[in-house]
Amino acid sequence: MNFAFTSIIIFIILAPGYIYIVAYRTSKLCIRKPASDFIKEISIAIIPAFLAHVLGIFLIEWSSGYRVDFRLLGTLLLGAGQQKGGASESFDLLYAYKYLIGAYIVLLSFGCYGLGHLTRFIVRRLRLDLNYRIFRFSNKWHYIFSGECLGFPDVPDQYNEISFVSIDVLCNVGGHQYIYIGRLLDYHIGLDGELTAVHLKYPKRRKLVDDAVEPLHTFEGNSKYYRIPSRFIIPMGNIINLNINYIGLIEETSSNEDLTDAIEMI
Amino acid sequence: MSKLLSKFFGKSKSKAKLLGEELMADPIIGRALVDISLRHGQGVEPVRVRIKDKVYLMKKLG
Repeated sequence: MNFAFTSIIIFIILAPGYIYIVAYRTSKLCIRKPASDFIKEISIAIIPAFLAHVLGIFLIEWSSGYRVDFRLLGTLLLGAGQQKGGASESFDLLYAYKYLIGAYIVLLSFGCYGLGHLTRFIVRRLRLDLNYRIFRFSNKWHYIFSGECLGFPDVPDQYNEISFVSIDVLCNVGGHQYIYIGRLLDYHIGLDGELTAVHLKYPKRRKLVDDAVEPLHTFEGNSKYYRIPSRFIIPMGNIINLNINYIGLIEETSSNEDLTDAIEMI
Repeated sequence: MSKLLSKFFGKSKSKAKLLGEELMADPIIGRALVDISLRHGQGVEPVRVRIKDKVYLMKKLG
């Protein structure tokens, strides 16, 4: 049997598994690898494809009573076989059942697409990716910037206590080092999964060298700070390092407590 | 059963996240909260912040 033809048959058989993997990874949690990993991706699809076909064949045989003839598949994959006319008979059967076989593959692929999304939903809902490394998604920056890394085992506090994330970005701009401080709005990653830019909302900046002169913990009226009244994107090429702060807010309901130590804002 | 299903498929945002989004929607409050969080970021002790007629406990996590 022609090697290219066998490859096409194998690809069609693995297609539902591949579609399952693609659906599972279709989210911001996963990094889209370049096409050079295609063979690896196909290899990963073997187990889901096998399980999908087991389920699909079981459903067909259970619902219709039709018995799937694996000799046809074996002949197409491995060659004509020993008996005379094996290949031509297999092709005749393939032609006779082409619509049913096509419908089976298409329906199974649609089912796998839905199952891929459902599996990711269940993994996220049950927090399996946080608790078990094997379920963790490839985009590590999501866990860092969202604060979900607080949900990892042995990390104090909880992800669901976070109200907002503020970030300090140390940058090199025109030979000077600046710290940009603001609320993290978004981030961008490249094809290789590395950070390409961070997106801050209403940031302020100061020169790093000013830290040595005086403490700069007061922002209002401090001439060392320059406020940027908009959303601001910093490309990774300028970034030296990042400091991320996860801040939790809890509304105090008791009105009898002494409020003298509370910082009044507005 | 329906309660369990609605809990499983319902919205996943926590109370703290919703509170943060509500407060951060106001740019003045948002900026002030970031300032306070940085000013007190060195310590681990929670800070009490009064915004209008409500008091919030601000804590650095992790």
